[in-house]
Amino acid sequence: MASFTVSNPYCYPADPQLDQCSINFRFVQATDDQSTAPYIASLAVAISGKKRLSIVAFFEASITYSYDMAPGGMKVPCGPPNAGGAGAQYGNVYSVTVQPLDASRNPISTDTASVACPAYSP
Amino acid sequence: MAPRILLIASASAALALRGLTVQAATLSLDVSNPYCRASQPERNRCSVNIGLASAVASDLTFSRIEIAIDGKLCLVEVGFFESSAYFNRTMVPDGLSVTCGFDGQGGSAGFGLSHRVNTSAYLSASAPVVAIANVTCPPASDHIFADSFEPGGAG
Repeated sequence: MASFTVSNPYCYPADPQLDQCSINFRFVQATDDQSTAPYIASLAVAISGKKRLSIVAFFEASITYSYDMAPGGMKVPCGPPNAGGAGAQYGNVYSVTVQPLDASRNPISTDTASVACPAYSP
Repeated sequence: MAPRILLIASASAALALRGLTVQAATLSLDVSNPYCRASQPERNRCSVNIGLASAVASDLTFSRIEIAIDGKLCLVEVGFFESSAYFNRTMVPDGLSVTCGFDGQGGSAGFGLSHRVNTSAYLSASAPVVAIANVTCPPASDHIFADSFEPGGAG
């Protein structure tokens, strides 16, 4: 893996009438120099351990994700104030994991960001 | 490549892991063209968005950007082992929902309510840099109908 960058994960209320937030990244980029195995075959995003997004390298050595590839982001419950312990303005705090995977779907690398969402307080 | 894990308020921990010395960091925040549009005026719903916001720190103590409207937190964007964060309007395609208000409700004829939009940039352990904009929305439709349609003109 030559480089692996995760930039600016963010969370906002997708529908303020509901307890529904959206998590996204500004961009993610994984580039494999293909000098040594294992080689990148896909990239997966998981929220709280559950896979939410998968991108495949199609005869390519790099995978790039941009926020506009999933315009609505990945929906999660915002949670009530201080649900994740980050403070009254925040709701749930999510563990968001990004992993480039090899052809056997074993992780080549792992980045985990902790993303706090705004609280749902109607 | 070793796993990297970033936790809330962990920038200082990350710095410690990397053996860096924490020094006074500088932080700049630019905000351009906040705006409000009538997304569902028949339902008194408008949406606030920001053309562009960028926060750039001098080191990895950068933490996050937050956008709050009328004191209510609406967006959190984190720096992930980064010294900057960038936001543009297309990152939240539908904008951030607010009440439009009725014609003149905010004090100006032809407009609805004004909303206070605070964009804050944080280092891990200091007071935020805050940009405050008052954004006036278009008014809601005069008549609100459950089916979203208003009566037509002469016909």
